[in-house]
Amino acid sequence: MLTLFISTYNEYVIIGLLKDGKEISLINRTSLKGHNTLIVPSIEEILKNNHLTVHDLNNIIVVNGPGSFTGIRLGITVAKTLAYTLNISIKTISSIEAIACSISDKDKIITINDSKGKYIGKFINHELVDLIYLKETEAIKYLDDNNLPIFSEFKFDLEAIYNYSLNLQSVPAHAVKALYIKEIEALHGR
Amino acid sequence: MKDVYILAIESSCDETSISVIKNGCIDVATTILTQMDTHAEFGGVVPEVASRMHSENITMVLEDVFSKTDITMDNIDAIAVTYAPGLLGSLLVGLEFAKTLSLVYNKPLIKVHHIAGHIYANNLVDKMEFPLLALVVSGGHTELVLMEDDYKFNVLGSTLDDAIGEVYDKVARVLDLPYPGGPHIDRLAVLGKDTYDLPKPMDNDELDFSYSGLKSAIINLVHNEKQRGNEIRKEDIACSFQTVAVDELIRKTKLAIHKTNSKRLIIAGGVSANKYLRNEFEKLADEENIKLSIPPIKYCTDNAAMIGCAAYPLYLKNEFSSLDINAESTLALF
Repeated sequence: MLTLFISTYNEYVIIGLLKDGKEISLINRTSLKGHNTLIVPSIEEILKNNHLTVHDLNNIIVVNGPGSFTGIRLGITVAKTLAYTLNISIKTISSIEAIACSISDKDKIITINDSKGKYIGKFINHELVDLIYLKETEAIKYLDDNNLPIFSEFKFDLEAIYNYSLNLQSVPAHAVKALYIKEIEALHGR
Repeated sequence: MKDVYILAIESSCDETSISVIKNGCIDVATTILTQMDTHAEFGGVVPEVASRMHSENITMVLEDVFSKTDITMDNIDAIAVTYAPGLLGSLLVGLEFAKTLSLVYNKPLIKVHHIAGHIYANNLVDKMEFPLLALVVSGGHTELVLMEDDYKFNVLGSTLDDAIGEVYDKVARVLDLPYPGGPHIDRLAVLGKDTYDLPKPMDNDELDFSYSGLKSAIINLVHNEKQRGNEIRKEDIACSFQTVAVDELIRKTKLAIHKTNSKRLIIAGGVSANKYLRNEFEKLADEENIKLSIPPIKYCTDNAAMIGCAAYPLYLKNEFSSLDINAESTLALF
């Protein structure tokens, strides 16, 4: 059982390979010139390094956001196209949940920063109970009010993410969508 | 020679389109999913909305195009995709999609310039014979180009300021017409008369174009009529504007025909869907006794069929791209 993991929600392109739920390979690159120059070549490379091809893949886990709009959209586009053309199962996991999987605290807040504010995920007893985007000042107030341990630095634990994904439903490839959360600025107030 | 099938993808603006093209000139199957209605609500294309919709719809468009033909991915020789110019976020979705198909099916990737696509759309009508004169008219282009061979573009004249399609959109907005404005001006113009006295752009014999003066004249005209409380006769303004705008294209193209002694003329780009323009150029072709080619209206607006046509000469020359290529929002073809 070969699983491809794709995460492109922030400045990194992370491509992982798992065999029966165990991590066998990981590529983590900073995308200076844009994710689009890295995603497909990294998938090609990780498979080649392991003497595999896309046709050996059995399923895909893709991080669908929130985060960089362009980043998640490109990761999602590649992932759903692979799932559709290879006719394999695909599951989506939010960036907030993917980070949370790698942290053992039961109650916690995960934050992802952008230039104007924070995406915030609140977990009580390992369950995501709130997922919102707040401007910086409101975000700070939210964090103060909740008084929970806050995590924003992280390193993905692919095996923990895989185990978490076992409880998630597969999504039909055509229906795989990004999780943007934040509204589009150009349409603000419409 | 063996038939060549190219799967082509176009997503540079607000149409998600995929085509299967045979030998660079036969449209085997095409699907175009337009987002026009969505963007019309906002009065123009919202780039972030466009990118989102491309990503949401693109695999369904692929399924649809293959449902129209017996050709399967096994028969496809190459994947072609628009990589420039256009809305960056929209181009990137098509590009990532194309790269993924190239990886999965192990087919070469061909990057195609959007404007080359508009020009090569003419191959769907009649195989282009060189040398020829091409008039490119779109939201970003107003150019007269002499083509001596495939992908050999010699620009004889271009716009010094606004592109003609841009001016159509602006005039439509001033007249409170819905987006996209071009077809509405075309429709209204038929009902109106050329009654408004508008300035002629560039009264000289150079082959460059200038439309900003005409644009300002219309904006001022509408503004002044409103100030005076006069009725704005939209039909007449549309007709007067279109007459001046297209007559200028005709005049400059005629000059170019004489200067280059051209026997063949092709028109390309979104504005070539304009009915008045098409009629006037047919008259010009008759007068000048030259061969004219304008793509059918469905191939004038954005579509992937034209991208497949433009990819064919590149396929024959083995001009393939690696999977790390980038999109470019403003790259010029000539």
